[in-house]
Amino acid sequence: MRFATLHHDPAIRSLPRWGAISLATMGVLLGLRAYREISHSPEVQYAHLRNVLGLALTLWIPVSIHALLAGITARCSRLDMTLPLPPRRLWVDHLAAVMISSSIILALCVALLSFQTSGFRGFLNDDLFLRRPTVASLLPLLITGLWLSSALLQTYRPSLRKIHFDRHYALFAATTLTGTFVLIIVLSELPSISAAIPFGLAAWIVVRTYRSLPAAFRHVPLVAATDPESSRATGAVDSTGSRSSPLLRTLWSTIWGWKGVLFLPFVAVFGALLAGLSSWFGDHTDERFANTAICWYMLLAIFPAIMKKLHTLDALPISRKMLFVCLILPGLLAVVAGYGAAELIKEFRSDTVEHIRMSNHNDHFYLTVPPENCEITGKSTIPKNTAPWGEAHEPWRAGLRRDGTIGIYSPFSTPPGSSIEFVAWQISRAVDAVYTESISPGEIESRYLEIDQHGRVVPRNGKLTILADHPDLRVRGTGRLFPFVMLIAFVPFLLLLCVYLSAYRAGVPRTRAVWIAVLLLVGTISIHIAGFVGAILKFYTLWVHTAFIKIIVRHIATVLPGGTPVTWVVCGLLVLLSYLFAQRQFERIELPPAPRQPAD
Amino acid sequence: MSIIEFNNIHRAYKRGIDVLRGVSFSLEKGEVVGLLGKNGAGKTTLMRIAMGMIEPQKGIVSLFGLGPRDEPIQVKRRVGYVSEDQILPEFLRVREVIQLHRGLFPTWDEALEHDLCKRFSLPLNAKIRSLSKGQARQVALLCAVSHRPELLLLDEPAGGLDPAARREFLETSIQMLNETGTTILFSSHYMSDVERLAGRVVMIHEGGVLIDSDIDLLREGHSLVLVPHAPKVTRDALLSIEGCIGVRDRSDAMHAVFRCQPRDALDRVARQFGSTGARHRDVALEEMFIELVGGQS
Repeated sequence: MRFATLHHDPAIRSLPRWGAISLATMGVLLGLRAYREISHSPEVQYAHLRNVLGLALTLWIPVSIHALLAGITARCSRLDMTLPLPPRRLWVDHLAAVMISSSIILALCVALLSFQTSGFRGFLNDDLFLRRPTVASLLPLLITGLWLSSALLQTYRPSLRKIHFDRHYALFAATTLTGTFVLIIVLSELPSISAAIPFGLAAWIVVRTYRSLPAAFRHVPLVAATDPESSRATGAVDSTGSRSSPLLRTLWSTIWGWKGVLFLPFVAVFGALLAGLSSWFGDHTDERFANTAICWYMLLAIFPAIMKKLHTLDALPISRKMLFVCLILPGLLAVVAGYGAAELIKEFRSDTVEHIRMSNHNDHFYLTVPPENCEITGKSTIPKNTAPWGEAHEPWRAGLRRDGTIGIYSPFSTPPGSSIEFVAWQISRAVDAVYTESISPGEIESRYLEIDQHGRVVPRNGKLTILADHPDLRVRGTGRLFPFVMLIAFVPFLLLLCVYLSAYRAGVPRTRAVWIAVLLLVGTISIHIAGFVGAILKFYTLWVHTAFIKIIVRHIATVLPGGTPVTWVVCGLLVLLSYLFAQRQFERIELPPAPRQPAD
Repeated sequence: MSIIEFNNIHRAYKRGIDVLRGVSFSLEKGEVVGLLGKNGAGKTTLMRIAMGMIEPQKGIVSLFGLGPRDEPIQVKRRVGYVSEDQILPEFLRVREVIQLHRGLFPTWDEALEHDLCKRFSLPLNAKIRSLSKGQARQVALLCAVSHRPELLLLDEPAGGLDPAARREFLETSIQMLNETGTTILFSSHYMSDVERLAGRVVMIHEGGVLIDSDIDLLREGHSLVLVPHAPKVTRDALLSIEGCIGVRDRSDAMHAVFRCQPRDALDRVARQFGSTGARHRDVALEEMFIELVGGQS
């Protein structure tokens, strides 16, 4: 009997689905971490704390998403309430089910981490890797922390059969999970016996809540039933209030609700990644387009859950167009908001970032320009960069694939052997290409370059300060990338959505929608993970791909009559057309009917 | 022009398993029609097709001359709809649900709304999730009728209500609206409700319309003949008699429903089997329903 109660608990029943979701989430996080370790120089400052934080966060994010969104808020089913089972037993069984399922989710994530550690060890930075805290040292803390957060979440209105996911619970759950994470980080600096602290706290909370449980669970809070206002019968409903507010509230709460409020910030983070957020860390390489598929995944992931809730609106005279706006717009706006926030922060920091730099590699200072100022080549041989006086040098190049002929090259290369005049000429050309003003080679040579005692051309004072010295310089082509990023983020998403919506056409079996959703989500996450795995295995370099696309965008904006504004209009029109196409599909579908049995 | 017209409606949820196979009937202004059928006969499917929530794979449905999938807003604004599984947004208060509907339906009658609020004694500040099933149903009914719809579609609207609440609802909504010319199509398993309120009955069985008749004509034009068991009195033999539309084998006799007057039915049975001791019994709608759909299955 006990086993049967546990077995039909939603926390256990949803394990296969949430196991897959957690593994996918973990795969993405591990891919990002592994890739950063491979492609960027290790940061030594606060290395231990950064590593503890990174590892704990990588494991805590999937279990938090499970705790928040897995819908494990029903302490017992309606059937259980009709059986001669005391609430204390039902509560304990549910808590056990939640703890078991969360622990299994954590175990799956740890297993994937171990697999990655062994599978990619040869590719990872050994110095950093050895400094990384082992999972074994953090695991007791994570497990007991997880039990503590599970126990705390079950203290929320313990007299209710099911916790209603409203804004109060959303805030409570978010605070609980964040607070427990902070506790884990603090305790990780103490001896391993400190894992007993969250365990003890969890045990105390369980006993305390257990004792406070009522003789019978309630369907709704008692306060609602006895509230004199709520039980008052009256014949008049205020007609002077806003007419639109209940409609907007109904649309918002039905479609997104508080789970959406918790979900949309995650979507916004991927919008920020599409703005090149990751380039702020490590060596400033921009790999934004590597995050396109995960953005499609995030935008699609919420749809299966939303579609199940739309039946409540189907009989009302609310147009499908309006419904579609409410379905689509918050996700798209979250991406745009994330992108905009990242751009604003970049703009705020841009005064301090030099776009043209001289970087020291292997005892030579190379001129580096933003990758979008490089050029595309499809040939194995590239013409040399030749100065007016005949000095010529091989340009730097990088292939889209390892050893591939298609790739990018820098017309501004200054390889070893370049004269100071050549370097100054190249910097002057780079200033022309990157900024809206020009600086003569003579000024650059006299102001920024010198020859050191080894005969090398080096920047004076160790670095170029062109932007700092010329605050009137403006970067060319600002803003032309945004519409293109939105184009490749939104158009494929909307087309994939059309594929998903096709499963809701008349006469199509309902199970097909489930399979199509699974295929789309697995497909998009696989594209994302494959991108990073390929980079980890050094088949290609992600920032080269991003640079390749940015160069194409630069050329398109140059070729198009009207330049950047026309790029905006063209990209906007393509997004709009995709939106209208998806909207048309949505208008033609049949919304799934109300479930025959409540899920809990 | 008919208020609602179903023309050769076909609908399947799985390939090869048709729920509706060529259903055709129409309702004129002011009619009150009871839609009958066994569980799974397709009553809810038909209602959902009328609302444009699903579309027929074949056939045409029109409401007020409009296609519910082509002009969903215009159609839904003129229709009141309550279904058994209709779920109101549980996070809203009763007051907010009413405000929501008031904003969506331009023809909202606030006087009627106030009248129904008083009659049902609805707790306006209570959240929908804290209401009893009957109270939630009353809120749904209030929202369905307060815009004085031209067509009221009720799919098992009184399921779960106690007899007093059911009668209160049926009298307030159906009778009151019908007095003002509203056309009403309602499905119910309560035959007494159908007999009391409907002027016409449409019975759906095995994907088609088995009976479409005025309720009085149905009573007068159909008869139940009880034929004592005998070797020659078989189900097939009875069904072969002209006008026999259903047969059930019961312990006391074979129960055969005829689409004719009782005397004619008895004559036809006597002609087929000779003197068998067959007798006629008055048939109530519920009994006819059982005999017909039970006998056909």
